[in-house]
Amino acid sequence: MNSRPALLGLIAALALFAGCQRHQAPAAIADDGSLPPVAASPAWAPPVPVETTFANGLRVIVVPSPGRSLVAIDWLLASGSEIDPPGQAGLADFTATALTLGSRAPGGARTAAQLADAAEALGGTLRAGAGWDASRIGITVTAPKLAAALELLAEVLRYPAFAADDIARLRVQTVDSLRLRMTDPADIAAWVAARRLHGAGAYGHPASGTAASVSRFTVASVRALQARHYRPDNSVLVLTGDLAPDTGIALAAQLFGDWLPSTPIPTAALRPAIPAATAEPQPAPSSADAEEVLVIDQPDAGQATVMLGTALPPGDARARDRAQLLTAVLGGGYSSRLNQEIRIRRGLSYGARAELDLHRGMSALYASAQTKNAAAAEVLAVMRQELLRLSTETVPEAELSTRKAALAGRTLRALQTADGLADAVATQLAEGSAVSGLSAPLAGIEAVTAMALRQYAQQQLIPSALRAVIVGDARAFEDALRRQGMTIRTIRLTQLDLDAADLRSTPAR
Amino acid sequence: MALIHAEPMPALPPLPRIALALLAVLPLALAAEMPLQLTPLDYRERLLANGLTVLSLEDHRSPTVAVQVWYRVGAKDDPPGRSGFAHLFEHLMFKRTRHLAAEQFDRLTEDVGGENNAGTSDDGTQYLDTVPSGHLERLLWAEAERLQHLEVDADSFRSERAVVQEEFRQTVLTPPYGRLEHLLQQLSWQRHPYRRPTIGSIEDLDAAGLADVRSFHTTYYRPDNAALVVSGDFDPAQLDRWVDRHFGAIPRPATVIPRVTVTEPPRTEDRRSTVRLPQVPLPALAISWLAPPAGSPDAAALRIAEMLLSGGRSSRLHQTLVERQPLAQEVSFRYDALADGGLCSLVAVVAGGGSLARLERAALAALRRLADAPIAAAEIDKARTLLLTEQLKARETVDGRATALGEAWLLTGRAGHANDELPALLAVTAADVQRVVREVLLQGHRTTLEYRRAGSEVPRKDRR
Repeated sequence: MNSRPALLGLIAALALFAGCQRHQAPAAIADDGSLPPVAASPAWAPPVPVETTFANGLRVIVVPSPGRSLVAIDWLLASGSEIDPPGQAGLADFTATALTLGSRAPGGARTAAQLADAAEALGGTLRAGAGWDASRIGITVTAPKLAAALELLAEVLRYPAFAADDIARLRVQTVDSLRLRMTDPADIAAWVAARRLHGAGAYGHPASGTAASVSRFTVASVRALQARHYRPDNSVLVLTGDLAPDTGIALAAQLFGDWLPSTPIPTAALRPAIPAATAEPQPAPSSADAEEVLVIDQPDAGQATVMLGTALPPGDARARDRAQLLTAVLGGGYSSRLNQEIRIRRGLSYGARAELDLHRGMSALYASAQTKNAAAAEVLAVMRQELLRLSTETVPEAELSTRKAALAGRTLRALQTADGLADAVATQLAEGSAVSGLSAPLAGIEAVTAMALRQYAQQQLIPSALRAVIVGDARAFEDALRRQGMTIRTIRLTQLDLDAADLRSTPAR
Repeated sequence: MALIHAEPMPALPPLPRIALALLAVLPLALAAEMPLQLTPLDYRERLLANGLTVLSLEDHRSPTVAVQVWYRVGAKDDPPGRSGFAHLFEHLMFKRTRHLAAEQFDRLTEDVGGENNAGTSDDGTQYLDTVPSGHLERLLWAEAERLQHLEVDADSFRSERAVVQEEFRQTVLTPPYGRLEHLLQQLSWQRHPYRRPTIGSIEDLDAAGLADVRSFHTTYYRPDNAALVVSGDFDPAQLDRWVDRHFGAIPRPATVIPRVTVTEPPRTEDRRSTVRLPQVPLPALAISWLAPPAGSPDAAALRIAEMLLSGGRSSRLHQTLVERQPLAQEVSFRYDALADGGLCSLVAVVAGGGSLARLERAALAALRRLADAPIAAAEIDKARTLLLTEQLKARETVDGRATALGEAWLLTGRAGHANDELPALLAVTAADVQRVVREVLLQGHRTTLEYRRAGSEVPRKDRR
C-alpha cells in the first residue's frame, strides 16, 4: 500500500477530453504526415459509492459496477504498520497475515490449509496485509460466489485461531523472505530512505518488519494487537463490482451485524500514534546532512539503487493535491522529468520515477532509479537538480496540463475493474478522506496552478532537508560522489540494522 | 511497472480461455449458486488485401479504446550474434519516424490521458495503446506510420541500447534470483532459438547497429506479418473506413517472410547443471520439461495440472513443500505454451537451512502422486474456478480483451482460440490430467539447474 495513486474523477476528465479537442486544431487527412483530428470523447462517471453504518459501528461501502462478473470484497482496518509497537516492526502486517492461518468459529474450526482451499475453491485467494495507515484482508471472486466469500471473510476476521504452530511457521517463512529481500538493492534502499526521513517516528521502520523483529513475535503479541484494533467500530467493509448495494448490505448485516467490539475502548483512543508521529520533531536539517550521501555498500550488487527523498508535513486536501501533482511532474508516468532526463536523454536507467507516500502523519516524497554502479553519482546529481528545479522554475502550462491529463487517465482506467475500485476506496480511507465519491479529489488537482505548485515546492523542497541513499557497489561511485563535493557515510550491508534509528548494528549486542 | 514502456514479457501469461463462440452464453454451474453467464468475445475479423489481419471488438462501457498491433516476430527471430535484438527493436519503435518525433507516441497517448506499452516475447512483439475514444483515428494513423516509416538516428539508437542494457542489469543481474530463469531458458532448449534469452546479452546488444535496425524493420514489419486489434468505444463502419485509409495502402512486400523452421528434438536424457553465484541468499532449484505447444489438444489438461500443482496456497506443491514440511521458501510450477513448443518448469527456493536434494525428491514425488493417486472432483473444480476467475480479471478492461485476441492470433494463428479454451478446460477430466502428467513430466526427460551461492560447499547430504 505504498503507492497511493491520485484519485481523479469525472470533472477533470471532462475538462481534459474536451480540452484536447480545443488545443489541437483538426488537421487535414493526407499523406503529408499531418495528424488526423481528435474528436470529443464521451463522458464517463465512475460508479457512486453507497455507504451505511451498522449499529456496531462497522461502515459498509458498496461501489456497484454491474455487468463485469467479478466482485472484490475487502475489509479495511483504519490502522496499519504505524501502530507496530516499539521493537516489533512488522507486527501489524504479520497479524493480518496470521488471521488467514486458521479459524475457530462456533460452527467448527478450520486449519490454514482448509481456509486456503475454501478460498481457492471460490476462485480467489485470501489476501491479507498491512501497509501504512491501513490493514486489509480481502478476496476477489465471480459474482455468484459473493455470499460464500463474504462468509469466509467473516470467519477469519471474527474467529481467528492464532495457533502456536501456525504462528511459528509464519515467523520462519517471513524471516526467510526478509533475508531474501535484504539482498535486493531496491528493497534495501526503500527501507533505508524511510529511516533517514522518518527516523524513529511511526513511519520509519520497515512495514514488513526485520528478521530480528519478526523473530520476536509470539501468539501473545499477535493476539494483543488483534484484540485492540480488529473491531467493527474501527473498520470498513468495502464491496465493489458486480453487485447491487442492497444485496451487499444485507449480506454484510447477516454476517457482521452481531459482531461486537471485544473491549470497550473509545475508537478515538485507538489511534494516538498518528498525531504523535505528526508532531514528532524531525532531526534538525543541517546543510552538512544534506550533502551527506548514505551509502549502503553491497559489493556484489548488479546495479545500484539511488533514492533522494524529503519528508512532507501532513497537510489539508489542498496540500495533498499539490503534492500529488508535484510528484506527477517530477516522476509520474513515462514522460515525467526524471524519466526524461535519466532514461530517455541519458540512457542511464530502465526507469526513473517519483513516489509520494501520503500518510496521515508525516508523508514523504522519493525519487528513485536503478542504474549501473558506475553511474550512481550522476543519477543522484540529476535527481537533485530536477527536484530543486521545481521550486526555482515555474512548470510551463503545457507540461502541467499533460501531467494532469496523464494522472487523470491513469486514475480513470484503474476504476474500470472491481479491484481498482476497491483500491481507490482503500486509498481514500487510508488517507483519512471522506469517501464521498471517487471523483471528489479530482477537481482539486485540476485546479492547481503552476504558480501554486511552485510556491508549494518552495515551501517543501528545502535543499537542506533532502536525504540521499545509494545501495550498491561503493567502489564504483564513491570517488565520483566526492568529486561532486558530497560527503559520504558508508555502512556495509552486513552491518546494516534497519531496527536501529542510526541504521548501524551494535557489535556484540 | 506500468509506467515504463518497452518492457519485455519474459513469458506470455496463460492462454486466453473463455466460452465457446458457438454458444451465445455458457452457464457455469459449479455449485448451487446462480450460474455465471459468460459471454464469448464477440469480435469481427477482416483480412485486408495487403495481408493485414484486423480484429475488432466493440464495447461502449468506458469512453476508451485500445489499439494494439501484434507482429509475428519475436526473440526467436533475433539475427545470428544479435540475441536480444527483437526486444531492442521494440524499444526503437518509439523513436523517430518520417512524420513523428522521437517519443511522440507518449504525446499522443500519455499526454492526453491514455497510455502505451510494448512487449517482446519469444514468438512476437506487441505495441499496446489505450486512449480516450476520440483519439482512435490518430492512433491508427500513428501505428501505420511506424509500421512504414521508422527512421531511427544514431543518437537515439545508442541511448536506447544503453537503456536496454540497464534493463538487463535490473531484471537479470540485480534481483536475487534474476539469473535463474535466464539460465533455465538457455539450458532447456537444445536447438530451437527459444534457447537464446529474450533480453539478450550485453555483448550481443553492443554488437548491434543501425544497419540491423533497418534490415529487421524491412524484413518483419509488414502488413502481412501483423494483426491490428481495436477494442472498446468505436463505431464499426467508421473504424473500417479509417483502417482502410491508413493501413489499406501499405504495400505487401514481394519477399517471403523468413520463419524459424528448426524443430526442437526430443530430449534423450536427463541433464543437470550447477551454477554458483554471489548474491544467492538461499539455494534454488529449477527443473524443466519439454511440453506441447499452444493450441495443442493437451494444452488444457496441462493448464489444469499447472493449477493443481501451483495455483495458490492450497495447491499441492505449496502445501507439500512449504506448509506441511518446511522444505521450500517458495515454489512454482508453470506451463508456458509457445507457438513452436511448450515448456513446463518447476522453480523452488530452499527454506532456510534446508537441503536442495530433499526438496527435489519431495517435488518429484508430488508430481508422481498427481499422476498416480485419484484426484477428487472438487479439486479439479477448484482449478477450473481459479482459471475462470483469472480470465475474467484479465478481460475486465478494453486492453485486456484486445490482448486476449492478439495473443490467440499470435500463438495459434487464430483469434478464435481466445473463445475456445474455456470449454476445453471445462471438459478436462482427472484422467486427462494424469495422462499428460505421466507423458510430459514423468516420462519426459528433465533438465535440472541447481542455483547455489558461490563459495558454499555442497553439503554432504546433497552429494550425488
